[in-house]
Amino acid sequence: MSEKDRALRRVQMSGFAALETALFLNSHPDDENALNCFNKYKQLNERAVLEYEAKYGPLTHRGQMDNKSWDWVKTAWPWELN
Amino acid sequence: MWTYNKQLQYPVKIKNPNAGLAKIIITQVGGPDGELGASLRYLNQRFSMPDRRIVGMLTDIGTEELGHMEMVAAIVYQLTRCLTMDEIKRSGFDAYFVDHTTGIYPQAASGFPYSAAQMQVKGDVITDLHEDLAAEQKARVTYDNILRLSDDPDVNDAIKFLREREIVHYQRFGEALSIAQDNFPEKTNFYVFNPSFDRQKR
Repeated sequence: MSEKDRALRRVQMSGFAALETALFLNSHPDDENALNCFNKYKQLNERAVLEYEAKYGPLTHRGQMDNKSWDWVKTAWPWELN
Repeated sequence: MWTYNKQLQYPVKIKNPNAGLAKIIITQVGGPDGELGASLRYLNQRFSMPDRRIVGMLTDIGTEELGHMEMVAAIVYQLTRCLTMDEIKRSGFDAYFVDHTTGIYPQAASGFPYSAAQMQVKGDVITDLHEDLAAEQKARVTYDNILRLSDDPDVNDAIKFLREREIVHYQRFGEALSIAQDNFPEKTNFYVFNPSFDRQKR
């Protein structure tokens, strides 16, 4: 697995864990353990997203870092195989 | 992957319920030129587009259309608050009410349920972008017709915003078509080659 793929995997894993916890919290909105779990994965995800975007380009419009070129339409779309 | 934003793209605040208006405006949720169809059309056409800029255009406009579907649904929701049975019968909303009460069901004003048969994904860049240009104009006319039928300023304010977005999207799709044509390998005859399919052979 390339360094880029590993960086993306960290984004996907932490993002999925945060989402999974959010679904549980929808039916258990006052569960403190679940809230702590959500916050942990949210922070991990925020860091993983910043690391990925700094090296490999934006995951959302707001991940645009370069102020000379709109990388959103220059990097690969997620279904492209190299 | 998508995430949800807990906000409407543009505010919808309708003071007066009006079942008769709801009955026609529902068509922009699930009708032939509605926002659901627009979104599904663009988000599925993306995969066969031969240029990343055009994929970006379809991704972002297809996503915005989901936000527009939410706005139209919010208009219908607010127009059908606190209705009396008498208002439901007099406005002709009874045919919708019997099947869906005041829930939001994606259908045309005629009652025809949302159907993907009303749109196309041809897998050909010129064909799909021309369909998208036409779709934006058809939705613009639908909003113009709603403005002819409605004299509620709260409804019209939100509908005018949606109408304006159709015009901007039309412009952007026109630019996407120019990008596609500028990149065709054969400049004098676009039809000898479908870059959505034939590019592997270049």
